[in-house]
Amino acid sequence: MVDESASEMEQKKQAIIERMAAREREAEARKAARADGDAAAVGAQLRAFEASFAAELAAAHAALASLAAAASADPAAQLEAVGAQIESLHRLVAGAASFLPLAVRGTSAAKIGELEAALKAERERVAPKKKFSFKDRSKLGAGGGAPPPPPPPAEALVRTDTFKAPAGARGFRSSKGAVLTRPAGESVHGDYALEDLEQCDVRLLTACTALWVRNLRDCTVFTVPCPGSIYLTECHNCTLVLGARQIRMHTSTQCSLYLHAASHPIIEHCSDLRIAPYPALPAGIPSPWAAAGMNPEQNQWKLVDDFDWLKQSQSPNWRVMPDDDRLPVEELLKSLDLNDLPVAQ
Amino acid sequence: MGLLTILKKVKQKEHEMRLLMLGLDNAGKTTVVKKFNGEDIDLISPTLGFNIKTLEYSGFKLNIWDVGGQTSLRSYWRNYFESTDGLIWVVDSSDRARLLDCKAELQQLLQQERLAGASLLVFANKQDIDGALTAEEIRDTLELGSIERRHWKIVSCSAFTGAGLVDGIDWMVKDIASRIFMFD
Repeated sequence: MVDESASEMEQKKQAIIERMAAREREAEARKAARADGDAAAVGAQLRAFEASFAAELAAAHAALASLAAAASADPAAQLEAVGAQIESLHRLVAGAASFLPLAVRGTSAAKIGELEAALKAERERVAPKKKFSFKDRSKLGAGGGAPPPPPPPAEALVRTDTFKAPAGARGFRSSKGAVLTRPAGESVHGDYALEDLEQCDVRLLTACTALWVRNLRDCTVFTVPCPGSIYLTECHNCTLVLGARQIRMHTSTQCSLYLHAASHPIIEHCSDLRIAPYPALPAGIPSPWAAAGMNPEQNQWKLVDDFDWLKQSQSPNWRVMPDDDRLPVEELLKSLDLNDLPVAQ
Repeated sequence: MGLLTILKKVKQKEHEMRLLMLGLDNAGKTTVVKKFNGEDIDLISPTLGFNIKTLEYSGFKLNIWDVGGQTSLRSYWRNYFESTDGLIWVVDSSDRARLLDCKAELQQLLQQERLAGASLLVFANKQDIDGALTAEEIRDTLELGSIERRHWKIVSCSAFTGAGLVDGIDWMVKDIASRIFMFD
């Protein structure tokens, strides 16, 4: 990145030097023309114009090309710069209008027109690029079973469209191969985040009002029921034991979910999910349900709404896990020391 | 002008208003409607499709169309634009991560010709959550100040506690009434 921007700087410097030299030649030619005032001088003027026009044009094209190659660190500024170059080209042509043959004026204008069109195209390409993420869309395409094609949106929107934990939320982040336990009895209220975990065993024994789960691979997660919502994004090949009032899962694949949901769990841009009910907790563990204000009997785990499958028939993106495949609760809690579990209040 | 006059007369007779409720998913649209209507808000599922709620408010019959906000559903929003008197845009004030998505979606809506005549009420919802942005911050981020030729208002509210809901709806109803039923 550093090298690129250094070479870019070098290129820009070269281009500027060339342009300055060209301008100087033009100025000298003008001086000469004024001195002589004859046809030869006009010829020299013309050559000087053509030289500086060509130099400026080449510089603008080069800047555009480097933009197109995504080599620029600050595309917006560079777009501005190209715009300024085009204006200066216009001024150059206007300034030379008195001696330019009509044909040369025509070709010059056409060249500027081409450049302007290229700039416009580039601007349209660059502007949405800044925030646009292809992740969600590609998952949608790959997400097994063709969802009914919605009418195309009027114009492409700039959107990131992913849930993120609020800045400063407590949580476990960026771990690999760890056992992560949030002990019982911490303050319930507030957000909690699980982000960028790989091959981790996560045990959340204190409920939180909102749990934000993002980018988990090959993990198992167990949480006591939360009184609020759980937002899951980009979970792959995970086993998730989750209880909450609302559960929303996005862009995830190949997960086994053991759910307690007080409302319909929803999935969007997901595939290959297997869903089972939240397991009955082993005897001796105090019931966390009352604390979460939920009734263990009112579990809507099976009533999954797939927002990519707006039909009555079963969505191909999830299925109920067969009884035989469901892991016993002891296994789901395997790394959990029962002493860690919440004590009765 | 003839058709518009007839439409106005029909509406005048029935004292009906059609309100369209939109916003990103998880903004709390359904909760706003249910809380306003005095219903239980404990077991609300994310809206797959839409809900229609008809309720009476200060002598008017409000038809509230509450349409799901998931990405997959937003392309269907257009199906609900027709003859909308008021647009209620609900914002999750605690969702800073998606505020720019929120702005982009709203701006696209405001360009829709079929919504050109609708008053705009922005609910800065979830004010009960710590760290929620204020209505002023949301107004600035959404650039509501640059809206021309449209009646609009931003009201901070919490659909969870119910605070602010009546203020917002009341403004909307009065604003629409003053436009449509001014000759009553």
